[in-house]
Amino acid sequence: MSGQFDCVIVGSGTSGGVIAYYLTAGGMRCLLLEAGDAYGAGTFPENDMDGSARLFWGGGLELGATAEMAFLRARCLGGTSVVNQCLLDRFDEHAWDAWQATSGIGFFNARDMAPHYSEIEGRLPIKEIPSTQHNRNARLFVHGCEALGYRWAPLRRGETDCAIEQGNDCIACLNGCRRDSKQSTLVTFIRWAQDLGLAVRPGFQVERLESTPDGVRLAGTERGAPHEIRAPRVVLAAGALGSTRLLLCSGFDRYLPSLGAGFYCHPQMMTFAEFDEPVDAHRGAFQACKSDDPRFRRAGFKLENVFAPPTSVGMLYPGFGARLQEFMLRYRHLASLEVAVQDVVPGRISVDARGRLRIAKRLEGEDLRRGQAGLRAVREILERAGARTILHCPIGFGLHLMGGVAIGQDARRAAVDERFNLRGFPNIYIADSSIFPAAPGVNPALTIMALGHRASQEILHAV
Amino acid sequence: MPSSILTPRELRALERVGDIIAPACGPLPAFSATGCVHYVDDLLRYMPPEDVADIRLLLRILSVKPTSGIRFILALAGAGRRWRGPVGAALRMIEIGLKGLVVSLYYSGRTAPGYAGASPVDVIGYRPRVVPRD
Repeated sequence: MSGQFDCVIVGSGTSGGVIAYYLTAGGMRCLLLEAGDAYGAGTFPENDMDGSARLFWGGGLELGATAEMAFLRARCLGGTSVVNQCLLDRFDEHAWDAWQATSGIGFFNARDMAPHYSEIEGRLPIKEIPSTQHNRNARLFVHGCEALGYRWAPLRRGETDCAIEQGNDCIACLNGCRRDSKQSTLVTFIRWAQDLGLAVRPGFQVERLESTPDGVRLAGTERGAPHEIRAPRVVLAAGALGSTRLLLCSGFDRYLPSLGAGFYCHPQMMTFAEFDEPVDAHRGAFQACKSDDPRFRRAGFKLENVFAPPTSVGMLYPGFGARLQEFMLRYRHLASLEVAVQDVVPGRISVDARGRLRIAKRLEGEDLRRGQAGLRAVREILERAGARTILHCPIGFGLHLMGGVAIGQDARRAAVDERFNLRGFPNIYIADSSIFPAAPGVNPALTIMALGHRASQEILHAV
Repeated sequence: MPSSILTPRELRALERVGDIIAPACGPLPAFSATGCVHYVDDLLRYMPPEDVADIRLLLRILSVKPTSGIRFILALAGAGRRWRGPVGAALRMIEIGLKGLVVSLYYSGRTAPGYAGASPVDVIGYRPRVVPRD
């Protein structure tokens, strides 16, 4: 297949969906490839086992090399935007300053990125979750914070109508939103781009990328059968693990030795607390507010009021047998809080001889100290809220997967330049979370979209 | 035959492991009683083949162990979460692999056709509502 498309985009999540839209709207003939299947409001899995198995890489989760951390990334059309809570926050000055210092990229500041944020925000209905929609888990968090003088803030979510007042439970949309309320790229940018002529091929996994004199060659499998695609250019948008793996498997580390370095993931740790009265943390807007305290920001962590379905709670509980079952019988009485660390100790992504991912990432050193400080704050808040018992879960996990193909001015440390080009390969672009030069400590989704918009303008300008 | 991926011997081992991880407890039924193992292929077919091969090997090993032996291995795997080095990593993988399989099946809300008891998710009060869009 050659000459049919001006650009192929690999990966359909938060980055790929946005870039596909802006390039198509700019007049380019684009093809969007997604390794996973296409689901929709009428076909999303209806239970958590099927949701994990069908919508995530690894059949649910992928383990780090030492199995101390688990990583979750979606494998379906719309990518992680289908299974997250569509939380959309701008970076603060702290995050931009750190990025600029690390990368030397001039436009990494609030002023230069503002038009890109505004462009995305102007297209999506974004709501702050009001206090009237707080379930008891959120109310306990707010009560504990306010009693201790910690600042909190409502979460900003991309949604049209989650029908909380009518009794809808948003925890179900961890397996995809069956109301089409969540503003994933599946129901926004990809759909809009398809209306303009974007071609989409789900079930296509790219295994090799080659730069050729007239563009790029992508080799992979489509539903098990080998396929090859040629195009003048490619945008990699498969996320930190996917984009990095593809480049490593394709041998680009021979030219770009920094490939795979600088992996971050905002390591997260859950704490459960048992209360005498039912909490019903899974009801309504199960993730509604976060810490907004400058002391926590300086200490390198944030807290989020969130809960999990029983498949995850049972997994996180450190034990089995009657103890596990007795704990699960108290499910409705559990509140929970999550610590997310702004990690500064980089991990590394590599591949073995068979092309399998190896993720070297541990919670250690300064990251461990930050996590422990966060857990102390969590305990303090939950105790003040009246918890009877508190349980810190031993498994850390990463949902915000970042880095591996860092952007920056220093060619020795950064594989991507400020025009989102893979260094030395003018037909290969990347603007997904793999280019993050450091962990921002802020939910990354909106910034990935804003970078996608900026990258699409660069590509259209170059063409 | 509820699985085209696991052998009957491996399935029996999974049910034994499941009953140790998720035994009958008050109103909660035992793992094997729910028949959730009938849906194991829905989980395994999306896992990487090498992970499935590892789980099958582990189940075959456990199939010849007495219940006390399986319980000891699970306890050791749980304790291994604090250990460093390759032994700790292997133990954590065993714990996450086995417990992940059992807990995902048991708390999926799916029970075998003909099962008349309460589903574990109903017992603990987890049935999220999705309000249909007008």
